[in-house]
Amino acid sequence: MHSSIKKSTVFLLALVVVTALAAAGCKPTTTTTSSGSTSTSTEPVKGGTLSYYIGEPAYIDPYNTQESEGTQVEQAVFDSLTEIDPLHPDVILPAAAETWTVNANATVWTFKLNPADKFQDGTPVTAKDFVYSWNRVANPKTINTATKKSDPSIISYHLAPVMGFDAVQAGKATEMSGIKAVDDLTFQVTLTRPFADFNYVVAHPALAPVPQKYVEAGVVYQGKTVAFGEMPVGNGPFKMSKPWSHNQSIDVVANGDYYGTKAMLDGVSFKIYKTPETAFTDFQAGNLDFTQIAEGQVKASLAKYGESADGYTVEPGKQALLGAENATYYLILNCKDKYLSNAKLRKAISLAVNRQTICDVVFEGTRQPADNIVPPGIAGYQAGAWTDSKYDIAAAKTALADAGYPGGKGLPTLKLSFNSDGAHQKIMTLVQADLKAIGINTTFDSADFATYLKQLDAGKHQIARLGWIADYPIMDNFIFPLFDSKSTDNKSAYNNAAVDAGILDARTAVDGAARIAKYQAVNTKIQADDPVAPLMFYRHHHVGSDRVHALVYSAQGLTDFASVWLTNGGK
Amino acid sequence: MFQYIYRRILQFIPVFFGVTLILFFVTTILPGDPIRLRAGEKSMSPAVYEQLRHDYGFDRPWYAQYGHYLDSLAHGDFGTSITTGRPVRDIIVDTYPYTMKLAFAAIIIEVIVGVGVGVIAAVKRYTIWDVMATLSTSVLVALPVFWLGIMLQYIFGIWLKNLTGSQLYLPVSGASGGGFPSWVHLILPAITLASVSTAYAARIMRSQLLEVNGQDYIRTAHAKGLTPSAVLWKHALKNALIPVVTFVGLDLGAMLSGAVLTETVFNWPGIGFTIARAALSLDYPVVFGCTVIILFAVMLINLLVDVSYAFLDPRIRFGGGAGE
Repeated sequence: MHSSIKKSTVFLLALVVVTALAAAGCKPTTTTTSSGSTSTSTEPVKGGTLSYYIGEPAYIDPYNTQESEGTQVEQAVFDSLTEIDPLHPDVILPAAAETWTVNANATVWTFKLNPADKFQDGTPVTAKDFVYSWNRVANPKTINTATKKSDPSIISYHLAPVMGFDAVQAGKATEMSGIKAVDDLTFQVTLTRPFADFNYVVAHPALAPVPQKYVEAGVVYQGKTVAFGEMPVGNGPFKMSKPWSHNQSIDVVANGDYYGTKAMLDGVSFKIYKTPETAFTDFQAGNLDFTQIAEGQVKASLAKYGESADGYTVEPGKQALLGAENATYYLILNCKDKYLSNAKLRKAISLAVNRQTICDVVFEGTRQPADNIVPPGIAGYQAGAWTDSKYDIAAAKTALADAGYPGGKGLPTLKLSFNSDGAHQKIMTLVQADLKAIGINTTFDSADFATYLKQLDAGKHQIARLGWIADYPIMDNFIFPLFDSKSTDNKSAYNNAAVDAGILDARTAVDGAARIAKYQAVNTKIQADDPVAPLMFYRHHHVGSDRVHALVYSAQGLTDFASVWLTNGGK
Repeated sequence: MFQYIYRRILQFIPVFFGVTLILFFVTTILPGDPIRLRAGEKSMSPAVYEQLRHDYGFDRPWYAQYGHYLDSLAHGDFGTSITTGRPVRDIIVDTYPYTMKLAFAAIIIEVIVGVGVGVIAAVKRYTIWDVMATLSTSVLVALPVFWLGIMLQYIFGIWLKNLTGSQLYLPVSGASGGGFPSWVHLILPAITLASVSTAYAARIMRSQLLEVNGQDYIRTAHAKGLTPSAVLWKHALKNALIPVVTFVGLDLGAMLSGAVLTETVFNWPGIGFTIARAALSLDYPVVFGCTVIILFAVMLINLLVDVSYAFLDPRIRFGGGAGE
């Protein structure tokens, strides 16, 4: 089978081409970069272009950057009011806002902008730019810069706490009454209800300032006008060097006029891949500096590239990242269901699931068992806070008997709902077997994701699955959406007046430590009711090349490109 | 002849309406909601949801949507992608040239290598060359395309690069960059895409040539003293080519519809993956727009193939009558 004409013809053909290439001097040219000493120590060296894997983003225009792909690019090009320390989620750093103050009940926030902050065309960033940009996010009639047709932000909910948001959404106003430019450098936000963590919300990349002039008229590139969404102009440490090359790459270069700490890199090339597998192949071929590890390659990669000390930072020799992400995979237990309204039954289900087995069998260690709904990368996380979120088959049997169904007797077959893509079926097969072991019979009810989401919205499910990825690294971003009785993301139909009141109280606490203590108390109340069964925390499975230094890929899944540098400046 | 082409072009019209009507109808019976899907696991604000439903026309009955779509198409507007808010026309302009490049490169390989190997195998029948050709084409036909692609990536992108200390290798991903001229990026994907079809083309070529070689007029040609090569090139090959042309034509049509596996493995920015992803995310405008473009491309290729028959076989005549 080795001596096949066709295959050898193909092989020969390719070899001929390769040789011809080499003969023609067509060998790949390496881009050399300016400056940089030849030091090999840990002293940072300027220069070089980092090549960074992303999938094709949906949007890189801030107002609609919904997924991690577009957000990576967007936060390199834009700065929001504040920035969260990538390794210490309890630390909020100044960005476009130099300082900020909040009133006693956390409803009025005043941000003093950095006077040195400029858009990449040299225009200063003013409070008016924030007013314009935030209204653009909130308004359901917002125009897409390429089609010039209405294309509302599907992440407008970030601004839901702001006074006047509802009126703008309802079409009764075009500007939120709660935001105002007091003067050029003072931006004031009034909230409908207290929200002491609002300085985390304003760090979100979607709430960065955009220059109205370019949003409306487009950006001129090589004599041609391109839509703002194709080549956004921002105020961040990097700027677009050419328009988005769809399905291929997005290239940014260091912004020499940046008001903050200037980037060590000359630029970042976001290379767009269709699948992480292809990206990983290209990484192995030496053409990429940072990528996701392909399925089934995690253990081999840890051995080959070395495991990062903290799970988030890439340094030569310690290149593979397995840090926990701010995301939790959980079972929804519908509290409105005839049977699952019984808290003891919910407790039995949570205790019956062997989370470690799922992580080992299905995920090769790229997930870790959840012992809390709040993952470890969040300020205020307490290990083991959800006491029923562990595998204890004896306790599960006892709880089932306490629920009135000893050994499952008298309990009808329950529905286990999930979307049929991804690894969910494998996970649910293990869950089903675990439940069977204590006497709970279940049937699968799977559908494609779009149909599944509709079913969840309808609320007829019994046991179902979802993953929750935090928008901001705060406890509130799990506890409020998933458990507040009025939240539309509360698919368990959990309704506990004490919890609702507790959340509101915590949101009012301006003091950080006191606030976290209050959220922890609410979290303890919720876990006693088992409205969900947390199963796993997601983990990074990413790897950097051996020339990359100080690349921190945070639990939020964002890279602070400004601090990254390459050995010998990428030469 | 021209009347034939004219009639064939007129046939585009019912096919166009048939395909687009079926597509529109199918979207009405699919249970998923593309707008709801966009928000994913997080719920969407009701105001935004209603606005988007209105923007994409989902608040109207399907025939009204269809009418609006036809009207927009007539004005050169292919609609807007639901997942990215981009004009579908831009998406096609971005991806289709890459699909065409890859398809034509693969077809050239298929024709040259496929026909060449088939002719050699037929002429050198029962020699070691024939056995090797038959054996290797059998193996190639059975190879999964993605596996071949990954192997080629490993050999020419990683193994060869390590062996030569990064002096000699081929790019394994994308259509540009890495310091290579853009045509170099085509090499591995084109070989991969062409592989199975090339093997088929070679097998068809071989069997057709052998069949034609047994015909009376070939014996006559030999008898009147023509050299073997003149018999092959002037008489046998021309007749044996018709099934190969049919196969290659169909294949070109298939390749112009996008090559999802090859595009995925080599990260080639073509239309195949775009349609596949759009279909999965229920991005109907993108699916419709790409389908319309592919429809016209495939019908055009079929027409060209049919016309080419006349040149290969003078017995084939166009226009009216039972001879068609």
